[in-house]
Amino acid sequence: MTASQPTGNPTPAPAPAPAPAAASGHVFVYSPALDIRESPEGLVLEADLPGVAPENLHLVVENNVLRIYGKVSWPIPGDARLLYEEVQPADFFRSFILSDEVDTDRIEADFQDGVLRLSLPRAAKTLPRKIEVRSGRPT
Amino acid sequence: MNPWMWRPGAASLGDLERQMSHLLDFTFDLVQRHLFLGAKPHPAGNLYEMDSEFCLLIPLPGVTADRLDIQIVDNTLTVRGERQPPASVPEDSYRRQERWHGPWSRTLELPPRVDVSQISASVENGLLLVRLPKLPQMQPQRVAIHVGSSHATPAKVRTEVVERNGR
Repeated sequence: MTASQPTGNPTPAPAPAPAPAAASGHVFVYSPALDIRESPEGLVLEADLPGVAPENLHLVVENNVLRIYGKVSWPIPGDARLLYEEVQPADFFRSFILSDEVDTDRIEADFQDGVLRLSLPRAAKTLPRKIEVRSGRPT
Repeated sequence: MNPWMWRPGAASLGDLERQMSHLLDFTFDLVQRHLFLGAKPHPAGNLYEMDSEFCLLIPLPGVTADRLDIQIVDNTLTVRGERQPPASVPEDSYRRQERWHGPWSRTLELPPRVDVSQISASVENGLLLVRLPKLPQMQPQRVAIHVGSSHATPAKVRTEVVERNGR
């Protein structure tokens, strides 16, 4: 189409055609419901990931971004006919930008009954630190 | 809650889309609830049919078997439970709260072809699966056909128990 157009007329580049979902790696995912609360040690994050087996949960911290990805598998055989549907099986994905307050080396994760519990401890440098005052004239 | 499109590599756009989707979902839920337009059933579940059984699947994160109660009364199956918020956590320590808690129940009217005495349930990874086996006489059966030597006997017809659709 662009080849047949007159070359002297500057036209904006045509938008690329939308690629099929499977070929471009687009995936439908749920954003898991989660709570974030403060604890004496730092932050606690709890997320609902029903249908995710512990070995299918992937947690990555990279450049202060925390990514949660859970692959969902439902114990329904392939030949089952759906009679009534209120919820669709889809994987879970959510990402966060962690502040410098969080000590990323000491993040701990616990996953039980489809609930992920992450403890994000506060970094030592954000804890109160007493500064010693020296008096006296330098010699 | 609807699945949203995640495009790896376009994180900021995806984030924006997710936020918008959240906002729309939240607003829609709020409007639905306050105008009594018929609240969404909670918790959501799916019903499947296989050759030998029906299956009810309900995602219930954080729910263990001892916190579930399943009852069958007069061909009605009721699943109920209560999700407790974490104990000894002050309410004002939350920066963000999206997860639900509180009592819930779902009721299902059983089709007459379910063998009530054989119903079983299991919980794994936050998924409740209730298996509702069909009565033996309601399961598909094949009738053997004999290649008869005499044509005098009436030919047996190949029959199969046809399931009525109990929707």
